[in-house]
Amino acid sequence: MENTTVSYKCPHCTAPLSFQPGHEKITCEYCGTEYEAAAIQELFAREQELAARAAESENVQWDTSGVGGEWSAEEAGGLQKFTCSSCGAELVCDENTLATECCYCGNPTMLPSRFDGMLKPDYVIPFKKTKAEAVAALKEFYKGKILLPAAFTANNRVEDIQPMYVPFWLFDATVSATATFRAESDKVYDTPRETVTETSFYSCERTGHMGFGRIPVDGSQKMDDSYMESIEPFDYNDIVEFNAGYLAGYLADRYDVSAEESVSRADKRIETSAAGVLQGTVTGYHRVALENSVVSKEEGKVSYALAPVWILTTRYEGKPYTFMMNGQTGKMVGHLPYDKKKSWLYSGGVALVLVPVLYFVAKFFV
Amino acid sequence: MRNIFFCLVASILILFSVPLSAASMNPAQDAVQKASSTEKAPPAGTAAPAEKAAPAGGNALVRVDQGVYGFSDHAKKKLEDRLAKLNAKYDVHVGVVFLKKLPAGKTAEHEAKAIVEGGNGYEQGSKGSMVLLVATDSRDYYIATGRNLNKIITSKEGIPYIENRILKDLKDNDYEKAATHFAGAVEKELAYYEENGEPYDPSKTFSVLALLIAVLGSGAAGIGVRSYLISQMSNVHHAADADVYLDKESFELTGESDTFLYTKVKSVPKRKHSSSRSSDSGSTGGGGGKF
Repeated sequence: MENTTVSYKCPHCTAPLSFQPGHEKITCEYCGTEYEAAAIQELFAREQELAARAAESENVQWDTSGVGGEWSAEEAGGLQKFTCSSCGAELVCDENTLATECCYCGNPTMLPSRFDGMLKPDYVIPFKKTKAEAVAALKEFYKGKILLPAAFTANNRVEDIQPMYVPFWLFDATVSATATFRAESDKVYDTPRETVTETSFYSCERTGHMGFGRIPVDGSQKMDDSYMESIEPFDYNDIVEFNAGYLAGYLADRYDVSAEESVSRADKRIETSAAGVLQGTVTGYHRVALENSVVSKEEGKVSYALAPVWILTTRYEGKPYTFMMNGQTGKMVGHLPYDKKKSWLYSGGVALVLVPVLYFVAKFFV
Repeated sequence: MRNIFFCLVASILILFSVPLSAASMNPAQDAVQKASSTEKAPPAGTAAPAEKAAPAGGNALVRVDQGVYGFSDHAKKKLEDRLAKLNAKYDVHVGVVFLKKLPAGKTAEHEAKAIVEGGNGYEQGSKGSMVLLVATDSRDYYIATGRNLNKIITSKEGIPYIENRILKDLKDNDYEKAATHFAGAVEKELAYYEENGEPYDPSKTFSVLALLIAVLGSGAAGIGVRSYLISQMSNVHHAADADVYLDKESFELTGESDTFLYTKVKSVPKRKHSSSRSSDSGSTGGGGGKF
């Protein structure tokens, strides 16, 4: 069987190569030899090309008509099989998988046919945080949450930890914005009998240009948008041109939400920020409120990047809880369960303590 | 720690005292109601109410000067009857005086005290006398107590309670209502003293309204605390803006215009209330000020 995948193996000892978070180079965990990411990519370029061709030829031969009708052609199109170059096992991946791990031998496996053409990312932000750091960050995340059920922390075991490169669209834009604001200014003065407040109302208009760089919008349907926006921001000082070497040892998906579909989300954020910037120039008033704004793009550019995310899953009372950590900055986000009994006890306790205090305060006035 | 314990015990006591005290939450009111339902004939030698409701003069229970508006004859008669009954019941002499102007060089306090000390033939009552004096032109008022009534209605607690009841009406120039509220407040304090043998102190009495406010306020605060604690269990939210990705150096303001639309003017009258208070060490007491 032809190899449709490529395993990055150490040229020195043939052990699997993995990119180690926080390192500049790809290091062999077994013999300690360090390689430049570019050198590894060049080394395995030929292998990748062959694997890609093999995958393409398999695609052509894959006939779903004889599968007993259980899968429609559309459904089957979403699944593809690849051969692990290490143990020969067949791997079934969905249509977006770029890199995975062989479930039989644990070998990090690339799917090079997915890198071609428009699907190939422009940039990658390498992982900086390790698995141990992700687990420690989760424990830290639990701290100070007084409504956390005691059983959740006592019996808590992280069921699954996966490092994944998530596809992101990065939007660069130069915009021209015009906004109108309602501004109010107060003048207070005293007469012998009264205190007079004069409130003057103004309509203020501001126009300006500004630039935004690399606003991320996740391009994966599988990833919850709110989670992906919560782990922001990424430090773009560490962003590098895409090199498949960085994916070694990690899961990676390609985008399945197009850049065009993601534009509206980026535009909305740009509009809010542009109006906020213009509002900052309306000074000398006591109150300013936005009335209307129009933002037009003068220049827009989109690039495609893979960003590192640790996905941690745990279970409590049969319900899964997912946490995600920015694999570069270590920012942990997620929803925690809360103990309803504790929540009512705390609120009841506060109310009970406040009753006598408020009673005497209220009695003073009534 | 002791304070927290006290607060907790107090709140539990207050919460449990609601149903227990519902029937007797205001002894003064109960006493007043009881008194009015078991009306007795005035003691021998005391003038009948009709006789006490004499025309405005030195001993009148309700004296309203010419030029003071806001009192109908019917309301005046009704108030005179009420004060007469009150005086007979508690053996005191309580009246109201509404002057157009204070005599030159005299203060409301001076005039009120002169009245309760027996000036101008004002009766004293065996348990003391009391008067509410209001000068409508200068907007002064003074409540004076004399002949030991200052020990029953004290300047420190009793008089401020009455002031609280009448000040709003005086400010609204509703003198009839102020006088009626004055009579009601005095009656409440006298009834309380008769029932409990000590002067009425509003801070010592139980207030259902204050408890209701406290329970509602505490409940709202408790729910607020709960919502805050629950919100702390998640930090997942959509990003509303792109401020982090703004290139601040790139911003250039290319146009600005501010157009004046209109002005709104709001005037709030200043509070003119100022008060003076007597001590109860002598034979008279009281308190008053501007309205």
